[in-house]
Amino acid sequence: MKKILIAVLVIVSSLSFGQVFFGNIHAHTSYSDGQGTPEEAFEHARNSGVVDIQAITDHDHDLNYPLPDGSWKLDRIIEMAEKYTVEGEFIAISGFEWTLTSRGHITIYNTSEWIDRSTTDLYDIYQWIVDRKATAQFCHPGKKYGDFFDFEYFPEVDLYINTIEVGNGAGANSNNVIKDEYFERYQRALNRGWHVGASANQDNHHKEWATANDARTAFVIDELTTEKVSEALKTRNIYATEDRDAFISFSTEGAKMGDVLYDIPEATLKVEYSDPGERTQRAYIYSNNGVMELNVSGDEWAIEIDVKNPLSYNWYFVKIDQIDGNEIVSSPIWFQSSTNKYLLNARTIDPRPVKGLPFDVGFDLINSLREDQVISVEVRSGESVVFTKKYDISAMTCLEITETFDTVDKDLDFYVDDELAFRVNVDFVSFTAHLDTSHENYFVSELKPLTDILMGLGGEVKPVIGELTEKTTFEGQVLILPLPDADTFMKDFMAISEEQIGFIVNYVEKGGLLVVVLAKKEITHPSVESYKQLFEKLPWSVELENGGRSVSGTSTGNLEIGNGGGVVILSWDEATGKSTIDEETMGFIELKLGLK
Amino acid sequence: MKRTFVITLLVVAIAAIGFAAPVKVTMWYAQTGIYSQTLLDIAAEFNKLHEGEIEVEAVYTGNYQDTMQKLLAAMVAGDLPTLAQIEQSRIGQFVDGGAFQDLNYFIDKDPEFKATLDDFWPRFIQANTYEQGLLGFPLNCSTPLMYINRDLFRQAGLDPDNPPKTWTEVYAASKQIKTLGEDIFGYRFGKDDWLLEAYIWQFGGEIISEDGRKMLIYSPETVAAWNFFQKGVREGIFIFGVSGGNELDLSGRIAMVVRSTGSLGYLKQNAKYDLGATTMPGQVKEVVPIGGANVFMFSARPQAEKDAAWEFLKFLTSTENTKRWSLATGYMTSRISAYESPEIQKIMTDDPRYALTYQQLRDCAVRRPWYGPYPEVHAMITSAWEDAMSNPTKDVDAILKNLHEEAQDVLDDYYF
Repeated sequence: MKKILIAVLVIVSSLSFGQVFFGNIHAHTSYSDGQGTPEEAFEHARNSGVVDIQAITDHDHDLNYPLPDGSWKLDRIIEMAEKYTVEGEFIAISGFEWTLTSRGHITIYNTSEWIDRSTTDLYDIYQWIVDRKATAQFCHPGKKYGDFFDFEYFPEVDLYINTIEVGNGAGANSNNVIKDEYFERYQRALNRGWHVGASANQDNHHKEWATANDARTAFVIDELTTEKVSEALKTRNIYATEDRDAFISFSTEGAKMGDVLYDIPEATLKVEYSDPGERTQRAYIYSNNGVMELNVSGDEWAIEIDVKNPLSYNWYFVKIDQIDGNEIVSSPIWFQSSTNKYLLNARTIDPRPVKGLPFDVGFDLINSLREDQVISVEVRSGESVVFTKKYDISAMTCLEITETFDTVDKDLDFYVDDELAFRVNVDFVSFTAHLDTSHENYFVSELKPLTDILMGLGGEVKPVIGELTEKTTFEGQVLILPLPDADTFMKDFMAISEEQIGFIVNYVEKGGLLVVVLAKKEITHPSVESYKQLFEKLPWSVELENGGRSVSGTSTGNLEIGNGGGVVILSWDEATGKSTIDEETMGFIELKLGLK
Repeated sequence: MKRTFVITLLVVAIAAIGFAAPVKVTMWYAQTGIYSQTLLDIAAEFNKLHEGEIEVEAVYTGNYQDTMQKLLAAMVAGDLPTLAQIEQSRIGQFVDGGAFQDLNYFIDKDPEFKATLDDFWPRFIQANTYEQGLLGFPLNCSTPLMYINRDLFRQAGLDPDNPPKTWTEVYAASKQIKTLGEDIFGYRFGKDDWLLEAYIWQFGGEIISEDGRKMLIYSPETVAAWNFFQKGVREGIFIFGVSGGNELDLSGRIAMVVRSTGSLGYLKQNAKYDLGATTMPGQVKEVVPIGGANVFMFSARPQAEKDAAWEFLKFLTSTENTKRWSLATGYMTSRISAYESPEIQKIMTDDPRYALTYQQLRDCAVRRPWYGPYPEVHAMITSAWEDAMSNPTKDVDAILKNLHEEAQDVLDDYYF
């Protein structure tokens, strides 16, 4: 579902150049798994003429080993950063990278000490950063190295982790460091509540610090001083660029990219771009309220867009694609409510809940104030109130809440203290069917005709991967149980267990619909007995015959259980589309699912 | 592939060595980091002890594959080093070409050393014994262990103290584990060559005949093995990938993975879940390959140089140094006496997971295939495996049949 950001008014405006300095704030040397020394690195970057700012951020665990002269590596990095910094000309930054793959990597700047991953987990490093009021950055977020537990939000930590890499990489001859995964995670972090600005760094491991490609973190500061650079890392006045010297500006009245504004219902956003000779291919404004393409072209332009801030928490950033494929991503501007009470990340726990049944809804409640607050949540659908509750949230806390909703309304508007905080559009299905694949009956592709029929009825069909459990079975309205493949080489896994027989019978008696797909080929293996047993335990007198190829004792193959669910028996040919399912059976399925 | 002819050079011994000139021994090796550092430390110490007599120069020659290639080139050019660290599956062409010195020549003349020969782990000596004699000494050896995320086991209602012992049990446990979530997998595997050999053997299959001339890989047993792993991937309970293994293993989303015993230290430091380890599962058979590399001496070198190299080999594999190597690198000790030393025993008392590899070594570890054309054959096996596992609906039988035929052509070409 693509949301469209509503622009009220668009005006082409005039350019007003600001000052930008370029940097590379994630790089390694032989002090960890890179090459060369910090001295060489700073020297190389300074002499390169392509960056004004360079950080060295070697891995935490390698800093534990002292240098041959007995001194500590981080001390030397700090010493070299001081030595190579020339105020007004080149700023060298010391740091280290906390490297716990699976949680995520974090670069931490300007601390006099370090801590390594073997003694810390994610919450520990968060606490360490908070204790030192350090400046930190989320690095190359994603599945490979970690995404910080899906960017679980902590208001206190948010004060110190202020940047995120939307670009990372030292690919030679490739500026493509802004990857879809990082870009998606950037938005995920913003949607969880993090106030992080966008950086792009080379993460060098070879002796080409800042010169491996054109990836840069641009600093929007008016003077090149250590103080201003450190400040910009905290205030997020930066942008990520794959172009070595593109200039962009993103501002609104009284604020520039990276800033947070409060209680402004309508604003004019101004975007400026200049990179002589490098035309813009496309430009967008991304927001938690949608994406809007900007009608701009050329190598120098400016535009103003009037936007309404519909929610109590809104962010906007700019993405510009150049004609040569290079991308530029700005840090956001936030428009928030000054109540410091936010409701974010609302969603149905099951992405597609079943209409008419209660379903779980999750959301995060954030109290960013240094005192406890009561947050009263009201969920409305149109005029009607479908949910209301008050929550006590401690100071500087984010609570992840799950509540059960009982409504068939699709549009859910979440209000916090009467301010609209979040909107959810529920994607209901009419039922959920589980397709068992765990009894040597992995027929996902063969049974596509049956799956299509059920989807045509508005249902969702989910293959059961792994053991068939009672929980999974009862979570759906339909259980499809194909008899096993007689030719499998793992015959020990064909039988259904007594426990499974027990809960399947119970499921049917409690209202579930069981669809049995008869065997593809006659089963001679003794495991067929377990299916016969299931048939015996069902309240009918139908028997499996012919090695599971047919049944006796019923003319229709359908069983209706008074007050309960039912059973449908389909032949292999019916389920795989080789013959049609008769109308009576189809009618029975629809009846049982309440669709008729 | 063309057979490599070995030109045995007439080596003119230079008799007139001045009294002060030490005999120079060159050793090529294939590992970096702590491995390199430890080896260089041992060589430096040896040189100090033999100052003026012997000088060992250890030279890094790239990874296992690069080192093999350089040695093959050097064999043709006639400028081999005295010693080299060579990975087990890459020695075939040297053995076939008669390039290695039979170490029994020195052992027989060295009764003091000979008396300690049975102090080496018998399976290491067995693994270095060929028709031409005892050709190598163990240096960095390991066996594969199965690492377990004990937290996932518990969450799935499985007993982490009773981990699967067979592949069928791995499959059954994986089904249970899969119920924990879409993103969670029972078993992860890639295309590590030594593990592919293990899978085939464990299911009762074989790769190549004893004499190295006949492919045996297309058999019902190997088809069953490959079908088993492919089935796990197809059904979504195993995960196959050729990169990103470390990241997955640390992610907490993998319940079981087989890796070298040498990974234990790395996983202990990085994994933030309750890490368990057990012996590698079997199926029809319990068998694991001995991984890693051995040190070989080249017979074409001058006698004085070989005599000197022998002294270094003894030093390198002495109880003290194999213990030191093991402590520094995490590889197994080559000698039983080193294993029994208080330092190594303490490691195993502190963490019994370190003892598993020795248990496997005693019980079921065997030499990997080593025949001359094997590097090429195993590249073919790996690529067929990758094909079958990354396209889990492909017909394993057909893939293996085709592999078998093409690999047989390689063997036929080599031995023509």
